[in-house]
Amino acid sequence: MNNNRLKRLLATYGSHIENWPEHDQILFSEIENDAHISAELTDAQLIDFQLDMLIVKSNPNLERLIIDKIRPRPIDLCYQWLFPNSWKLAWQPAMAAILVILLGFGIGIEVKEPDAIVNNWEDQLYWVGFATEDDFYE
Amino acid sequence: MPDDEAELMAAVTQGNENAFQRLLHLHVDAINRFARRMIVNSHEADDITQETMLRLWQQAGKFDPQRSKLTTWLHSITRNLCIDHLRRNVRLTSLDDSDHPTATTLTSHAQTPSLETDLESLDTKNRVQIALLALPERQRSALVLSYYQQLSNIAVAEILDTSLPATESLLARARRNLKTKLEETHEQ
Repeated sequence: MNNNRLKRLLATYGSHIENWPEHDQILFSEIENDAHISAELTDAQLIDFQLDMLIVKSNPNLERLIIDKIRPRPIDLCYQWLFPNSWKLAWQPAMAAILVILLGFGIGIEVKEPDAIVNNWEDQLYWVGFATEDDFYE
Repeated sequence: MPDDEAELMAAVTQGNENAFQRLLHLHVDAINRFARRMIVNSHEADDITQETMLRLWQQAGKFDPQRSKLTTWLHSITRNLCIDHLRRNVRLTSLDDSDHPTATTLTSHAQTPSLETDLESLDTKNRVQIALLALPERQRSALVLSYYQQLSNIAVAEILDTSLPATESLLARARRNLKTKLEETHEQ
C-alpha cells in the first residue's frame, strides 16, 4: 500500500519533501529503504533537477510602480472634487460655480470703461487733422 | 491568513495606503514570479502583476477571508489574467487536455521559439521553459503553483477550481508530459 502511495507521491509532487502534502511527508523516510521505487525516485529527481534550473527573478521596481499608480494625480483630485460621485457632495460643484460667477462680477466691477480717446484740447487738435470735411458739418 | 494580514486587508478596504504597501511588499515578488513562469514575455508578466495588485487595492472588498487565503486569491486573479493574455496573444493549436503530449501544444507567435528550432543550441533552462510552455494551461498552472510557488494542493485545487484528487492527477500528468517533452527536446 505504502509502496504504491510512494510511487504516486513521487510522480505527483517530485522528490522534494517540502512539496509533499504534510500528512504524507512521514512516508518520505521509507523511500531510501524501498528498492522497488528507486526508478521512480531517479525519474522524479531528474525532472526536479531540470525544473530547478529555471530560476526566475522578480522585477525589483514593481513595488514602486504600483504605489505610483494608486496615488491620484492632482488633476484627478480636482476632477473628483468638481464631479463627485455622491449627491451629498453636490455643494462642491455648486460652490465652484458660485465662485466663478463672483469672480466674473469682481472683474466686471474692477474694469472701468476706457476713457474717451480725446479728453484734452491738444489731442482734439491732433485728431481734427485726420477728420474729413464732412465731419465738420455733422 | 495570519491575523495581521486580515487586519491589513480590512484596512485596505478602508483605503489605507500603508496597509496596502505592506501587503504589496509581502506578495508582489511571488505573484511576479508566477506570472513570469506562466508567460514568457517578462514585460507582459509585469503588467499582469501590476494589474493583480491594483485589483487588490481597488477590489479589496470582494475578498472573503472565510473562503480563501489572500495568496490563493491573488494567484487566482493572476492566473485568470494570464489566461486572458494567452487567449489574446497565443494561438491554441489544441485545447485538448489529454495525456497525448503531441496533441496539446501552445504556440506563441510572439515570443516562444517553436519546437522545430534547433534546440541543441539552447541550454537546459530554455529547454525547461519551452517544455513548460508546451504543457496545456491547466497542467502548467498546477505544476507552477505546486512546485515553484509551493502552494498546498488544497490551494492549487481552489485556484484551478477542481477537486483534490483531480489536482493530484493533473500534477502527475503535468510531470509525465514534461518528462516526455524534455526528452523530445533533448533528442532534437
